[in-house]
Amino acid sequence: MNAFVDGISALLEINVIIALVVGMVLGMLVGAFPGLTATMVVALAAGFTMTMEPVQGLAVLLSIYVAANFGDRVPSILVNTPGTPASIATTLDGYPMAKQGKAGLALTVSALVSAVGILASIILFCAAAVPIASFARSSFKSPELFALVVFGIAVMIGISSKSMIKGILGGLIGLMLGTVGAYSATADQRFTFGVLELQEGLNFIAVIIGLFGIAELFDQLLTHTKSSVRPISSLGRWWPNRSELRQTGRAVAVGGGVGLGVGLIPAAGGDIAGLIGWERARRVSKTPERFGKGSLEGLAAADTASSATLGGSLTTTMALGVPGDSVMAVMIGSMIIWGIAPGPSLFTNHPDLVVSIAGIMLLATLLSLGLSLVRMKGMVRLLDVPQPYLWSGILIFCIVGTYATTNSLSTVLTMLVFGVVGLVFKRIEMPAGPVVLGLLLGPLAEENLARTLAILPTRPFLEVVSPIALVLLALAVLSVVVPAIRSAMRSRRDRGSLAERLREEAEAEAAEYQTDQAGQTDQTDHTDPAGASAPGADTRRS
Amino acid sequence: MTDAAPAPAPARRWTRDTAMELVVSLALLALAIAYLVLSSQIELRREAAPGQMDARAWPVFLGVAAVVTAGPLVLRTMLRGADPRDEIETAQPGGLLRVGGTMAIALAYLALWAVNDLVLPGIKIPVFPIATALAVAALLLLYGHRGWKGLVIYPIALAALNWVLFAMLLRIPL
Repeated sequence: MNAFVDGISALLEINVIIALVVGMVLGMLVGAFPGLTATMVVALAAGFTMTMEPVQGLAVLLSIYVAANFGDRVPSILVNTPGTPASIATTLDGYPMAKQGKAGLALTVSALVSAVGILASIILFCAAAVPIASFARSSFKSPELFALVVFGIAVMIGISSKSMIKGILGGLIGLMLGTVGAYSATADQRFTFGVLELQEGLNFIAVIIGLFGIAELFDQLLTHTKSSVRPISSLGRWWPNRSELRQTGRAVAVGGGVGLGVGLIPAAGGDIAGLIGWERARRVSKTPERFGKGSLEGLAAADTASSATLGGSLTTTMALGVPGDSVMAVMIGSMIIWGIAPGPSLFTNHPDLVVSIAGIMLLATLLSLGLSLVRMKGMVRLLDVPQPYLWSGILIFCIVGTYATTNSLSTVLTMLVFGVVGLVFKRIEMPAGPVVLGLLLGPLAEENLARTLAILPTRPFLEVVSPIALVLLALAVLSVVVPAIRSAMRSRRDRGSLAERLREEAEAEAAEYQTDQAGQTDQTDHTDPAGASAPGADTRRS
Repeated sequence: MTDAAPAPAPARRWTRDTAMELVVSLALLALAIAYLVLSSQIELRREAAPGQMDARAWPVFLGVAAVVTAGPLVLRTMLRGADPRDEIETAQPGGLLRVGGTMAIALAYLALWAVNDLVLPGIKIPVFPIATALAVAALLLLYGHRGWKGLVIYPIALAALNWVLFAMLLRIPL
């Protein structure tokens, strides 16, 4: 009871409320600008929040995370470009609805079902986080933690990469970067080359902002063309009628179930969940032929699924210390800076945090929903902001925000270097997700492997390495091997990551509709229904 | 190539993608080898007992794994060419110039920012806002923006916003 009261009272401070509102506004803006991502801005905000109290900092970061999930639907529906990859599946039915003059209805339904998805996921977090953490605390020793880290990285490799070899290499590069600095057990220097700044390792925030933010910016600069696509400005009616609401019920249930499940898988984010949710809802729908052609069910399923991953990601992150997605990876970095280590012992040491986190998510969801339901004409205008303003603003904020984390220009140089590295990775289709996870979890893996090897000679193997660890390691191997075998069995042109394969199916469904509509619209048709070319669609973000 | 001649298999064609993929694969292999070599040279205060880990063991393991992974990538690229890149957006004319220019402006901005504040009799002028406004204006010019209002008002506004947010509110010593 004390923990509950402490958690709630921490939220009632005025600076926490201000932080929440600031985060929410930032999140909405981030979502609404294609090219800005929640990961990028949460990483940037980590610089601002370093000096804050943990609850205040969490209020900023979590409200960005939640609000971006609402804002990113706007460009998906109005210009067929996902604001963040989490809204890739929104484009499948959202944009066709907008072209039919139902943009307002699509935006409203999208906001409502996103709120339903997040609220369901908050319930999951409240119900599951502490039991999972308790189970992990009692059952997870060094071998299990090592296996869990390997599993997390393997899943990320398995789902995010078109080429398994590149995915594995990405993970290995991340793990290699994690070895830079002093070895924690003996303080031996590794790969520091006499540079003082490298002794504490690479600055995680600088690497994240470089790989996700600057690389994204550079990629846009490299590939930008003047587009004649204008946002759809005829929004039509806003509120769904009863029959429309009833129509979405089953899709919301299916999408929500998918999202809650996918969210619990480390490294699987809203993009994957949205596409799977859309596809599952289509299978159980009475009118599957309408999917991809402006189906309210399709929109509801996709948005519920992608939003429902938030609580699952949070649960995995807080209870196990393994990031649920890339936003959570950044959040772990921030929490470590505040002196809070996410993982099985977090809720023992800070039981009030569960309440605070759930409260922040709840408030952010309700406020974001309110803001989303206010007529979105203002948000629509954001899509008209000239790109040069956006690009220069992003670069300056990335530079100054990175500088703020250490007050050192060398950190900014690190960020710029990783921006170039990230751009090269994007161009060769090497996913950045495994790199980040490797960097973050590498030291944890090494530490736990060292401990396991130290214990092994003293006791029988199966007494040290439990079935849980063996199962996790087996799942890790399967996570990499199964997609690799599937990929090998497909023709080279047909290969792709899970997200890409689902997208292809969806595109095939939507192709007929687009052919019919091609000559009937005065809009320039931007035929990228799943946002494959959307900014940063290859990274695991929310 | 005549109509009668069979088209070469896409996997065997040496396209620009294949060349780039090969360069990158070789670079990754070189990186892996360099990492492995450097790992084996990590100075230890005390070596671990057999079967135990010291500061060298994990990096050596990662280096070996990276070499074993990057090697096949090079071979695969040489034998079969690059995978189709349908999802990658094509670089546009002037794109590389924009990226290079942005990097150059960013580095110049850092160099200017590193200069100490200007101290005049009775007044200290911080360099950061000036450097920021100049950098933003240069970036806008690079990106093709030509309106004088945008080139003056926006850089000053952005510099002021950063100054207020970071220096005054967050007390970051800019």
